[in-house]
Amino acid sequence: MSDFEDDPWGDDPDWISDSNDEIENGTGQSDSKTNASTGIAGAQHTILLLDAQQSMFESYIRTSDDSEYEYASRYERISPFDAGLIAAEKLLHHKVSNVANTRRGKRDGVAIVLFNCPQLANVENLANNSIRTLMTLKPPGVEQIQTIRSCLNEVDSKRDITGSTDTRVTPKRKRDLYDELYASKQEVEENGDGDYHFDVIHQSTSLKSALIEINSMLNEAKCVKKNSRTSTDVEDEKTVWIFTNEDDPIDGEDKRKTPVLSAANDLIENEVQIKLWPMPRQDKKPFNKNIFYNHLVTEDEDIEGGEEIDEANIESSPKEEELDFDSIIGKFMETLTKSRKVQSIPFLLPDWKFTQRDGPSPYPGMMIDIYQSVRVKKKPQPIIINTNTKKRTKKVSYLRFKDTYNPVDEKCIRTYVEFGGEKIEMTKQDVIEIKSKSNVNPKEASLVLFGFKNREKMNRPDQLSLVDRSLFAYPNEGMVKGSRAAFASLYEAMLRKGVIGIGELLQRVNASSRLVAIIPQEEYVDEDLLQGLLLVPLAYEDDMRATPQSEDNDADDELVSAAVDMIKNLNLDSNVVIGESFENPVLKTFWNYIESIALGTELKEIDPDEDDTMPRDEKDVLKVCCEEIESFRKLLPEDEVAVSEKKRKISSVMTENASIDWFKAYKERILEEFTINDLKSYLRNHDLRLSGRKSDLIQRIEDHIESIIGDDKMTFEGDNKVIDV
Amino acid sequence: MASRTSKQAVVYILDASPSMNEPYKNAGNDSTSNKETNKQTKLEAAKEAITGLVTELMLESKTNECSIIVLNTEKTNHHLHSDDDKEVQDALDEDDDYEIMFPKITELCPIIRPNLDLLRDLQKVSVVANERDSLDEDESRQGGFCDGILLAASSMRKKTAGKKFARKIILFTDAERQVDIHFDLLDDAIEDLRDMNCTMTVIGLDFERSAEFDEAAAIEAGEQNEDQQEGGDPKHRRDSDDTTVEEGETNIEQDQEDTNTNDIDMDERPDSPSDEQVRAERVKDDNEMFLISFTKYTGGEVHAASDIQQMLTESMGKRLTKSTLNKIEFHIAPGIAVNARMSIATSRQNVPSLKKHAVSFDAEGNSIRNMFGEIIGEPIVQDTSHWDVDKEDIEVFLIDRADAYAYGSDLIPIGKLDLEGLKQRSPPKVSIIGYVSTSRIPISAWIGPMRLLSGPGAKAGTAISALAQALEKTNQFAIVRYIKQTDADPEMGILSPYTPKSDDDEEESKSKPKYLSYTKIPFADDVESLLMLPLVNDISGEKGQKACDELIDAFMLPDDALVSSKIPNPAIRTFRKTMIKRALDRDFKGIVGGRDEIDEGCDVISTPQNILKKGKDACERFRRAFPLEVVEQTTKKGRAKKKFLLSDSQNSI
Repeated sequence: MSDFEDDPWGDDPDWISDSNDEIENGTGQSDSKTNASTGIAGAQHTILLLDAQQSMFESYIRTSDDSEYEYASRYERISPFDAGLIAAEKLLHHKVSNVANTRRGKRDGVAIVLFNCPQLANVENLANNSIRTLMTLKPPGVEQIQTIRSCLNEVDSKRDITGSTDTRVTPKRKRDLYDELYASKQEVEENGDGDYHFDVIHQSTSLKSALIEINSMLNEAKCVKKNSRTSTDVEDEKTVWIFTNEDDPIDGEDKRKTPVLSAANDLIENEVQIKLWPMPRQDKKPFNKNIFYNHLVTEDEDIEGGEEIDEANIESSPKEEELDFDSIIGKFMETLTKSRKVQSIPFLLPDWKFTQRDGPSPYPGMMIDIYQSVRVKKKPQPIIINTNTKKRTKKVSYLRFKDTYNPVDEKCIRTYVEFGGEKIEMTKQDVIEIKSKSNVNPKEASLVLFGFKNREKMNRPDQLSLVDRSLFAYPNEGMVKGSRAAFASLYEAMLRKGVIGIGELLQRVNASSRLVAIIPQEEYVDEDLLQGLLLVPLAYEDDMRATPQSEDNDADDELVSAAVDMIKNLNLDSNVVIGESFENPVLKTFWNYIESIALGTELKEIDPDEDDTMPRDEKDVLKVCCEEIESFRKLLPEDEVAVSEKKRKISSVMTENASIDWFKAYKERILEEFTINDLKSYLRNHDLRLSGRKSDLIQRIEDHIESIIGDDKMTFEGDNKVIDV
Repeated sequence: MASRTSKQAVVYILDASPSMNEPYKNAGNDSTSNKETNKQTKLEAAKEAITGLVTELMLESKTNECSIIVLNTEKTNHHLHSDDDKEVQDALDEDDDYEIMFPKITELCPIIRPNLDLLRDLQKVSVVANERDSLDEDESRQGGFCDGILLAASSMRKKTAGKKFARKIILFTDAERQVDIHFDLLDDAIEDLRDMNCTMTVIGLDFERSAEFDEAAAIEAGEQNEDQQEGGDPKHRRDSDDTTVEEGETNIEQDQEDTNTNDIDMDERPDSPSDEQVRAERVKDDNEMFLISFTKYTGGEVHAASDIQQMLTESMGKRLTKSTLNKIEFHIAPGIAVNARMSIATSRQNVPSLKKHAVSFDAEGNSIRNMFGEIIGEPIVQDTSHWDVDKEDIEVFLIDRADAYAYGSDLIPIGKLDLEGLKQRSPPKVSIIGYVSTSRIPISAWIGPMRLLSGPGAKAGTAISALAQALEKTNQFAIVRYIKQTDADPEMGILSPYTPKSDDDEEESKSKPKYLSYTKIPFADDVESLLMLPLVNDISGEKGQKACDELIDAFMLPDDALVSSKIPNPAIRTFRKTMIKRALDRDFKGIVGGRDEIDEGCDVISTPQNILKKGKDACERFRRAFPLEVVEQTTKKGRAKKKFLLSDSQNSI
């Protein structure tokens, strides 16, 4: 099985990936040599460490009325702990759907650990007793989703549509973690029973134990790839997110700091990133990371780029007086779903050949990171399972002689290409060599700049001879110092002078290079300006197809100006935002279905009005643009045959003749007296064919009515009476 | 011509006259052929060009057919006469007056689907060392291009009459030899060719003139008698030809007289080369004129080709694959729907994939070949079976298999029929949702390849043309929902105006957009979330900006440089060249046609040499303005940086 999702240009194995291995973290057995060279990362494991101290359960975080998050939408305020759980639910859901829709992240593990839980006194290790593992580290599935959902308020599949303004609803949940953790405490307090001790260990100790626990969890988990120190394989990414509303777990005592940091250091040694997700404090004071957490968390690996923005967001958000719940979750998801770079390659100047590393004056070339701007998600391919075991089958392929069906010895297999009816020997190695010899820089993956052209003639897809998706390039200062300044200045100059670059992009030494347009991007994504260079692959002559020849049907000025009016009236500028508009209706339906089966829940109804990929309601369109459409339509020359669909739509809008009592007409045999339009309106309403002569239509209606009254007694809509046959 | 209507039938005529054995004067500037180009003879150049054309023809479509006719061969072997034919031989022996039709011409094959043997035969073609003294005049003029054309016309009629072909005759000649011209047969041939819409292309090696006739010239009343006059376009005529003759026969005689005189001259006064030169020039001139006039009546081109590349491009035209026009409903607005056609405009091509077969080996470990030298390969099939993942010896048969989908780490069995129920039913359809300013759809959201929406009839064609023009005027895109096939999953896209590219670039800017081009755009979830720090803070000072400006100014490319849509994919080109080379030379195991073989500065996919030379300083200044330093990469282990070290914490206590 092959997985080309990481091929940034599409599904084509030939273009970037010559190996049929599962590139990303598919099986854990993939040939990781290729990964290392392209910088494709391994699996991403996430451990959520939730503070479970009492104040985390107080509901004081504001939610907005129209929250996107169904678990919070009906409550005015929710607790930081619930916010953490909702974030966890989103994370799990994201991971699960990622496997389904992108086939990526199959090995990504998720764990949820609580710390600062109340401890029982009669256990040996109080510190360990202060932490609870809600779910251990492994790739999430049905069980994990069900666990997390059971801990959250139940969401009615049918929303309250009474329009009640009282949004305060008593939360209902299958499993209340607060009760689980604190119930015994309350009991003890009430009964005055001395067997239990609470809060006997300091919260910093609990944090320390949690970090130690997480480290051993990572070492034991099956899904984490363990590389030897000398291995060149790509490491899995391991991140611990701490969710807390307490910025000072050490009570200002430095001596409590060291043990926690020591435990954290062990994690860091183990290549784990520690990140903080500060929750708003109950007392509305800003969360001060400088007290303690700044010493604990790891610095981001990439110095520049997006990470710092996130950092800034984290820092600023808890300072706001009241933090909106949606923004907490939104930013958390943004961080999790942030695109990872595909690879880092040098960007070379036109005279690069003279400045290669082994040349007299070596110049490395700016280092750029390549990202995908768009990754098309598709409906997943089914996996074949054994119905008896419900497990995936192991697929084994043998080559056999076509005639005798005997197995073929591997050694006898040769590859060839057919030409002129003959078989010409050609090996895979030959093809690799052919590709390599066809690249401008066969030595290394790189982007070579050839020159510049004026941008004005490259503003439409056809002017670019578009063949594929574009990639996004951004400087990498960490690998080659100075790249950022050079890149930024060149970017600015290209923008200022209105030029685009032309270059050759080679993403792998064994692949084919591609001519690309290098376009300085100055586009706004949401409100953020995303600056960088777009690499747009250009079509070679081989990729071009002949323009169809058709008779000249040049529109006259009147028609063109009618079209202009129509376009102006149907402008959607304020509605269309790439990346937000057009949710994939097929994936949505599909995913909804899979989930309902997986979790055994009711199939959620999808509101067709939410589907913005459908043309707007005709009546709405006609309201704003009736005249313009009509004048455009009138000016069009008529063809012999019109589209049947069109007729159906118009007439279904215009004539829904409900006044006719069809059954009566049938009984009285007066169907012939109706017009064809009336007859067709009946046929249309009953999804019957509309074609044929009038007599055919009548026959069809009669057949239909007979078929209805054929099944003993039936209510016929026409006159609402039961027909007794 | 941008598109071809149907499969092709081409007759290549290769002149193997002695003069073709001379070195090719204009050769040498061909960037794609090997380095021995300078020594290449005209015949070799023509052979290479024909090989290229035939292979192109083979690669383009399996249904293309062709024939190769070689002029001035020792023997005669074509569909009208065969030296090997015993009956003919007998007739020849018995009857002294038996006339061989078109002697000294060999047809390598009739018009058939070309194969490798044809190419191999072509490689074997060489100039027959004519000992001029031993030949009488008649014989020396036999096997000329005129006979070749007549034979080609006959072959074309015999093999393709009444069938759907785009027909073409391509003649490669230097036209330096005095040859027989059968005017009596020419009229019929011309008429035949006109009837069949067969055009004539002459690749004139070392020709002085070129001509192009988009359509066959009208034959005026009484033209048959004035053929000669018409044939020789007065503009091109030289003084020596001023005697206009009414009858073809007479003209030939005239020619013959000329030749006679010249031949005598040549023989008798060999030390006056200027006369011989004059005579040769005149022969060539007359021949060129003849070919131009002939082409005029069939329609076609005469090219004075200066190198192989030119020969190839001139005779091929742009070979763009035609796309299928798929029927589609185009819903423009409520109440306005037209029947349109969707076709592919670009499609990424890759190096062809390899096939597998099983071969046997001889004692020395070489693959066994058949008597024709072909490798014997047994076809093989892939047999896939499913096994229980835990118990290795249990096979899971079809009846025990089911489809499942991944829900995270769990597999959810779901039947095919259940999924069918989720499908949205719809015919192939493009529906406009609305319109947006072009700036709303960033380039990063364009997902190629492109498609074209065109109209088959007046209504759709006019509507599409009007929309295209209106979109161009308002600088907007139409947002559409597109269903490729019946009941297929919908995708979103934009329609933008599309102006068909004409050969003349200036015209292009004036002409109005005629079609709409469709480009896919991403669904909400397909857009990757990229968050980057703005670059503005890192723009360097004046010196750096100046260096960038200079770099851009120095490397501004001319409009015609690096136009990707006119550059063949180098990997596919190398693959084909290697494949053809291996096909013709079975012992060849290497790779040919790589970019390493291209001379410095001749690679079309590179900065033009003059710009590169001039721009060196600008590059240097850019490097000085932006010094770069590779940061030593530590291994991944221990790379996560710590803000706080244990020792620090201890110090601070």
